[in-house]
Amino acid sequence: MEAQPSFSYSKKNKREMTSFVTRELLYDYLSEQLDDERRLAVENQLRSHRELQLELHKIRAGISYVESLGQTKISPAVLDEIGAPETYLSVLLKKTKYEQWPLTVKWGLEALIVLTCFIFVLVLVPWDKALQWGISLRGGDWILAEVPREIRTGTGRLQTIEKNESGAFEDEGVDQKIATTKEAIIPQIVLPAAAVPAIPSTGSKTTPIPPAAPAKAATAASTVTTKSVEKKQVEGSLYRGSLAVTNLSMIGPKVTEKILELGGRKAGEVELGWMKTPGSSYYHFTIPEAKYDELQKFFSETGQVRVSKEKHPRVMPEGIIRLIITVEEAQQ
Amino acid sequence: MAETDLRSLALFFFFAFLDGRRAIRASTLALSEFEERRRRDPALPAPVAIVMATHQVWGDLKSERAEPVAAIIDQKGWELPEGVDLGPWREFRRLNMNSDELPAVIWSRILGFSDATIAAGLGLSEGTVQYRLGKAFRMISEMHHVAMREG
Repeated sequence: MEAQPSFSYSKKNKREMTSFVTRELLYDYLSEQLDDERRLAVENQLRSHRELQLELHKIRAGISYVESLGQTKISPAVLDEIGAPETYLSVLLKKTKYEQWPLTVKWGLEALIVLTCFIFVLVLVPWDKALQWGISLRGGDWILAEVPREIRTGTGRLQTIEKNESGAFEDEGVDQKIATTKEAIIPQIVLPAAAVPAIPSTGSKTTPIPPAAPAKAATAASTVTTKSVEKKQVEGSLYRGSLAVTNLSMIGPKVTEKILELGGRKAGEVELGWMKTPGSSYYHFTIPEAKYDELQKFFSETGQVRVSKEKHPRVMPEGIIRLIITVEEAQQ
Repeated sequence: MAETDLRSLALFFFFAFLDGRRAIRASTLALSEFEERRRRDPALPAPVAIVMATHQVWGDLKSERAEPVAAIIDQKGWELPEGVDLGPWREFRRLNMNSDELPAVIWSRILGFSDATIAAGLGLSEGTVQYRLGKAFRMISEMHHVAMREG
């Protein structure tokens, strides 16, 4: 056999490993993965290059560090938890390879489940009973609005009192106006002033409010034009009167202020103190019944007051009374 | 499954996630994968099956890798060796969360699998595995060296 020709790969007739390549092979050198030739070349480089020795030392330390992490102890409880029997849900998720599903599909499925639960709750829960239960917890009756009662007319039929839709101002309780409109015939009970027992006041000539006199009211009821009184369901009342003052322009605002101070508020369409005529102001308001005496005293001190109590179909809440007072310039 | 194999699964995911709770969950998934592979091929060596199973689950849980880990979360039940600083490992993990070097280092030096086992599990050549390990350890050694110098 012929001898194989030898080839010269370098000027020095041997292959030399560069420090760069040596550095790349340091891990393999430490892992004893190199063949003899490369191992010798790496060792040769290490002998002559200090920085490669340092690099080798660092890699050796790094390997030792990572191997020390492998000494981590795991408690038996953790291992038991890994090998524990799976729940039905986990088995299902595993079988369907839920972990490998795309994120959008997972989110879509979860949203669908939430929506289904929401719809079930909406459909199955008896919300009307739940709402009623919630209202009953608060207790008490709620007053939402004051509604005029239905009364029986002379023919025995129920008729609802309707509002005046003409737009013009109308003084409530005036018989002639009501009779000409669609409004029902409201039995008007006017207590004559002479029948009122006088209550001493502070000196001004006033006519106080008549006390409750059922007998006299019953007598007055006989003057009512309709027969519906026998079946009447009207239980409301209205205090109607007048107050004669001097210098209406000055006294009027004070009356308004006093009414508001006592908790009064308008009960009709017009504002308190509306100038009905150049010489009179109109006050239609409600006030707590407890404040009536104080109001009466104020009226007495301000001018000549005359007030009467009438029956009216409009029923006020308990403890509240309604008044229509006309404040006029006193006749000199 | 042998306890050593179970421990290998747990250790892999603990150092991959640095989260005890997440490691248990991933290990449970990997255990199923491992058992399935062994069932299909009873002759498959356990270490190779472990590499395959952990590689599969690690790939499936890619989205969970991205969450930042400030410190080990839920370390109850995991006892690190005394005096070992997790700083260099944490830094290496942070920089290589989505690389091939991280699981290769865990298989090789933490679980103690040979390059041949790892190569067989991944379907790669040993040279590729050694290259990845060399690259990883040059990085780890630098981080470890800095940590040691700074105390």
